Amino acid sequence: MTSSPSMPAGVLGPGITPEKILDKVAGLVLHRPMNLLWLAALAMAAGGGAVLTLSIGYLFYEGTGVWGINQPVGWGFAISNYVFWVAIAMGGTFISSGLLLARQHWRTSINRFAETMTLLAALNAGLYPALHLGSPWVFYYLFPYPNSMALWPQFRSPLIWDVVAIGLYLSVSVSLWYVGLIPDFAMLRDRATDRRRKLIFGFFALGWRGSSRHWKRYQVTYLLLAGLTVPVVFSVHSVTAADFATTLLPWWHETILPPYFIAGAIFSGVAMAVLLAIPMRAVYGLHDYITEAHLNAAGKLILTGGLIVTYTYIAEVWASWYGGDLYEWFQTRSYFAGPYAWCWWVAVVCNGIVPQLLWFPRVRRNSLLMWLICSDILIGMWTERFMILVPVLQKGHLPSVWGFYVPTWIDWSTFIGTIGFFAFGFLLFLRYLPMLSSSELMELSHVTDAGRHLPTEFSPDHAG
Amino acid sequence: MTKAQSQRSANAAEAAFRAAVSAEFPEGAAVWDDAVSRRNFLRLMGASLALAGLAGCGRSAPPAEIVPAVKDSSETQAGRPTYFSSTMPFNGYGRGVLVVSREGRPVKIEGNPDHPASLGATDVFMQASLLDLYDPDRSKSATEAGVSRPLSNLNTEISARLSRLPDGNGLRLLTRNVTSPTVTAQLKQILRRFPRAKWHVHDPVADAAPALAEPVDAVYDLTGASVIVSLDSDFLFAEPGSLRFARQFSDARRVRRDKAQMNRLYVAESTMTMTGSAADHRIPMDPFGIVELVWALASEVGVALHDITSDSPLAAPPTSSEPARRWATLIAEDLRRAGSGNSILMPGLWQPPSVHELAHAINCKLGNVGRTVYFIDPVAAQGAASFAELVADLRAGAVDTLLILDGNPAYDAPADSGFAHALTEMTNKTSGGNYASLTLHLGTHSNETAFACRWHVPMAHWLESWGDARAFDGTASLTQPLIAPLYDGVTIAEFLDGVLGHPPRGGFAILRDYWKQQVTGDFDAWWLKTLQDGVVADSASKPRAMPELKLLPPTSAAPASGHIAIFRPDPTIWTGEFANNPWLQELPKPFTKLTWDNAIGIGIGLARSLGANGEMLKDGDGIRITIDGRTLEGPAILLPGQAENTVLLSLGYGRDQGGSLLIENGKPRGYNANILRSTAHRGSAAISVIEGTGKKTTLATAQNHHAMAIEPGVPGIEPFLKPDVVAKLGMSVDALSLSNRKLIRTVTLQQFQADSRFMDKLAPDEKPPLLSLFRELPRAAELQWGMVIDTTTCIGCNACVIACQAENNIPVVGKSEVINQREMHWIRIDDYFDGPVENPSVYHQPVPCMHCEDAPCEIVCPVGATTHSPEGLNEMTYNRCVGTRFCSNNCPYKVRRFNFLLYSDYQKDSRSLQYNPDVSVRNRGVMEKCTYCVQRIDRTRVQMQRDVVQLRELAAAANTDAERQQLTKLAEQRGKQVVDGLETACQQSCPTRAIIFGNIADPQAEVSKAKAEPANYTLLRNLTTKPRTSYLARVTNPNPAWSGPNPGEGHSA
Repeated sequence: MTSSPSMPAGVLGPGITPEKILDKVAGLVLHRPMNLLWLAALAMAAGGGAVLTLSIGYLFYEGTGVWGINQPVGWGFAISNYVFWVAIAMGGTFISSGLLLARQHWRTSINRFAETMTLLAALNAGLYPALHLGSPWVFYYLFPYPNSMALWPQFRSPLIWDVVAIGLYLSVSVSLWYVGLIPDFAMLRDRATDRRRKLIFGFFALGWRGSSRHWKRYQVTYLLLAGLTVPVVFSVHSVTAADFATTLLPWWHETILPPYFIAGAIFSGVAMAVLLAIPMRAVYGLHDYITEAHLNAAGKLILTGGLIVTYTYIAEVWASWYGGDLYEWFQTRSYFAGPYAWCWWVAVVCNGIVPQLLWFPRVRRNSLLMWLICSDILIGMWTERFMILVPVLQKGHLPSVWGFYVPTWIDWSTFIGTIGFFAFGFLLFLRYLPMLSSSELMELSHVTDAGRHLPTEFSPDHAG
Repeated sequence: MTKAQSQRSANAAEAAFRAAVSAEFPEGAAVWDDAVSRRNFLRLMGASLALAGLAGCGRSAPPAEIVPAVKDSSETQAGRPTYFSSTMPFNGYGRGVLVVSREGRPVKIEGNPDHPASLGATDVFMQASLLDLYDPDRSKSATEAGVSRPLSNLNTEISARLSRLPDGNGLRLLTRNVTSPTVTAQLKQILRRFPRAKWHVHDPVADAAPALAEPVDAVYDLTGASVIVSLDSDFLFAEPGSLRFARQFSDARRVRRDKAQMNRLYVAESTMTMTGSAADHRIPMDPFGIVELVWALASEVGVALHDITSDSPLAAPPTSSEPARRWATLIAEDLRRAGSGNSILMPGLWQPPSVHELAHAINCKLGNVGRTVYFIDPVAAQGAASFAELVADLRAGAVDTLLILDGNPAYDAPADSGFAHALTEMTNKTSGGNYASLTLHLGTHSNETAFACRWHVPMAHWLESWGDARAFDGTASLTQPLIAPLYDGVTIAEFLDGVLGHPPRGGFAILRDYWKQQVTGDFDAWWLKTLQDGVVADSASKPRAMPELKLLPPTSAAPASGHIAIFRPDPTIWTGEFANNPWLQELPKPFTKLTWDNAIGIGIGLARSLGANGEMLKDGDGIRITIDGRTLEGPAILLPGQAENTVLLSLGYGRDQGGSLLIENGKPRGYNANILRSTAHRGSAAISVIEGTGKKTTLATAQNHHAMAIEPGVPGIEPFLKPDVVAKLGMSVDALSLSNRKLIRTVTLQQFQADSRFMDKLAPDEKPPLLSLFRELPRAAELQWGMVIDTTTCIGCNACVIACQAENNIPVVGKSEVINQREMHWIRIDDYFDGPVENPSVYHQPVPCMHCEDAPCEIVCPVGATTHSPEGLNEMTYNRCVGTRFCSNNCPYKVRRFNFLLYSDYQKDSRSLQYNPDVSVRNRGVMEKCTYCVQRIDRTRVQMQRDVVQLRELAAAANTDAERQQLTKLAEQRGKQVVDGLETACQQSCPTRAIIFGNIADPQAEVSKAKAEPANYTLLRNLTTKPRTSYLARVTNPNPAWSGPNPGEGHSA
């Protein structure tokens, strides 16, 4: 195991022992004093959440007309932001489950917060399809529930696949996240000094005693969930892509969309994880846990995603020209020189050109540069979703119904609100839950610490 | 509490109660407050005996004839529509209608097939006039100086004044154009009774009619005309006989495989009209150019001018400019080729007398008079004194009592007449603390004229009135009320009856009394039949001899330079009488698709020359126009085909009194073009100064019409596509050309005749029908609905749009929502322009739902709210719709409409009384679209089943076997004739029968035959959606001798 090829050197800092890990993880939750900076950040995020609540209230009171959507452009910010958040969620799950299955042990330090990121982003994503309904009071028509009308949803519609995919995805993500937390909850319960915390952590620890039987079951469950999650991850974003690919609009009606969306999701999701990890490790002193090796590995992943995305851009342009379809080619030209051409060019520069810097190991290991590149990618990928959605709807087949979409301030406040909601949840997580997975880190420290192996059945490589 | 205190508090309570009552019931409160009316009740009764009729006005039907229904009559069963024939007066002329009544409310207007001015068709005004009945801004009580007063006060005053003026000196009546026989008779009676009284006429449109030497009306019969020359005549839309002309025109133009013949239309006009868009050759010319053309035409045809006017020497024909001469030669040759009596020249309403006279002289020369052109005595009542005389008398103080019966002269009289000012002066003049004179306005709305008058009396809407009117050809017809007056309105006849001193008897008695004197024989039988038919039999005017023509020299020579303003009624709100009608305000105007506003229409040349810094003037950029020191400002809009150096100013906007929709942000909506008009030049005027103001306005256009130019290349025409940017990127602009999309297909008649496979050449890259990967399901029902729209005969008149809106309870969204691109019309008319922007060909393409057999909307709906019916309808289940808008995104035709906000008015507005009870009113957050009028299909089906059941019952009760067999057979037959009389709302309203709907499974159905035509095509066939709505290619008939660019020759776009 020591020579495991998936174990790059320096995943953990030198001299990290299980005791140190436990002290660090438990200390961050149990013994960290209240921090003014954190409080200020939480207040700001809560303000964002309040903006979201007010925006939703106004939307429900007045109707979807408060958004900038119109006759040709039936979907605007709601759906492009939905895709944006789903993609981020997907990236988180890819880190926690996909890399687990691929035996990338370095994921251990970042999987806990990546999963939390997934959960919050998925909640945001799940919000939008409900909000975008014209008649949200009958949202439950979308669910296959038995009813006196004997009506089922229309299963041929990708939106129903969406509902199923998002629902499944949210439940699996919550399970994976919670199951992973159980040993840590028990550890916190044991280390807590006051009765209140003992009770609360004890409740969530579900009676975990750390027995071998517990560990065995735990490992099997965790691996099974991870195994389940990975296909769900791929399906959820393929389904998102199907919302577009099953239509007959130029630039949507394409089979390349599912892999394109998945690559884009890994690209932006891992970028988001790095974007969060860099300040986190600076603030909480986690340099021994989230090391340059992590940045390096994440950088390679991002570069791979970016190359696939760039390939898709090129492939789509080529196909639209080679295919000779009038409407496809018209749309391509619209991308190059239409009213929202800037979206196209921002996407090309941010997602296609700037990430090429990641070929250089020095760039990948530089936390400031990595942070900047990841910010650039998130901007690029947000713009790309807008670019996929809006210009296509604006200029369809009949020029008589061409239109123009401009988001209203409610569109913006809703989007900013979801960022606030995300930050609010993430800040609470950082304060009240173990942000690193102590059990998995300890396992990892055994692996890296030559000579001290865990019993094989504890190793994820062999369990199950 | 002392007695005094309690008395005071009682008084206070009573005062408060009266205040409350006054707030709630203004009219009633006035009666209570007015001590005079109580104290002098009896005296007034005596004094106003002569005017007693007025007090009784509004309670029209005699009580003796009203019997409560003990049992449902077969006519008024709940849930079933009842049709009443009636007559809508428009510009004074009658148009026969059938009004649909549901549960006692009129809910829809259809044309009366028996009426010569309708032939079953309607235009936008007939359709939308219904909504004016329910207008919440209608005046609800008589007012004096803005305060509600009982009519008895008015009676007192009029009777006092009339008794002071026994011979009527100082009594003046001002009406609009009058064709009603009853009112004409009443006016004559008044003039007899008050010999020195005067009756004046002012009508914003009819006044424009040229004063020929002899008063005469020309009536046209387009049936046999193979060459039609319109001299600025919008005869397909804007004339009193337009609906008939449109039918005759299209009947002679409809091309089918077995009838490949059509007429040819030349239109010379200054601004694009619907007639111009239907032309084979459209010649944009300023008004002087038209005069030149008709003179050149006269000399080409060989009108011997001196023969006609032997009494006065005629100036030599003015020298015509080159284009006029060239066109004249071409047209004259065509006219000659057509043969004697087979052509027609139609001079426009707004043209000067010289053009009319010359046109008729040419008609005479060509042998058309008596074959395609008839002359009749004027339909409108004659004998009125001029409007100018009234203004002069107002100024001179010679008027004591001025009764303005309907109309809005204070707004629409030309500014130089000074009428509004004189009227206000007269109204406000006092002597000894009393008003010196009486000014009164009778009207449905308290408009600008009501505001300038002291008294305003609410007038009954025509749907509340008994009355009559004559059509453009003299045919008389009756108006019958569909509902009791909602606001105690009075008709003009009832008012005049009161002035004549008759006891109150109501419009019904007045009308019957008049007609009793006209009819010999059994009057009651005549009355019943006439009411039922909606037309007085054989009442059309008899042709008279050709009038003597005093050929006048052209009114004026063309100015060397400068611009000319063209004034025209707005194609939606007309001259302002429909300005408070939300349907018409939101109706996209032809060619510009502008809504809720008027704009100054300019051509591309003017847009270039007026722009600052080398920039072209764009839509919404401000323009200032000065004529004779009077100035007007408004936003520009680019009009394709506008004659060089002319500017279109549309009437009807810029009003400030008479409805909430007239006002936008506290200011009148649009500009008032009347302030630039003068009495001498009603139709056009030379502009002194025209300049850009630098202001910018956002215009609410329902289509980005500049993107609709088929070929790019004109700067500013394709603002979204930026062809110059694309060119810089090293690409050609050919792919930007919309012509590749083949949405519009057009062939010339010669191509149509020569090659039946012409469609393959028009769209060579259109794939043949693809084989389906799935098994084609057999059609599930015997009935399969489909529609064909003939773009050859569509003139873009918008009637279908409003008819659909009225039938299907389509909400109005307002100007800001139109700007947000959220208008709701289920059928829209796409206008495409082809050729040079100075004079493009225009193609109208009405687009309802395509009812695709493989509908892309259906498979993407997550809840199955839009599904396919066994009969091929693409249906919407509103209650199931959650509003994802996925269906609309995936609809390539974008015919779906979404309720982004709560657009439908459930109860606030009295306009909701118009709702068709057969159609759901849609809630917020629901998608809607054309249903092929499924409620009409179902009603027809139910009627069929009802008939079958009835016939079977009769058969069962039959006495003999033979009778039983016959009835059973009849029942079987009836069961098969489901589609009898079935028409969609758009189809029913269409003046040119361009929309054909029916059962495509029946090869004998008209719709199936149309679909089998070689010109049949579907939109975007390559998407394999298999639309049930298809189009017939536009066939044009250009003159083969014309060497210039032929608009619309054998291509598609």
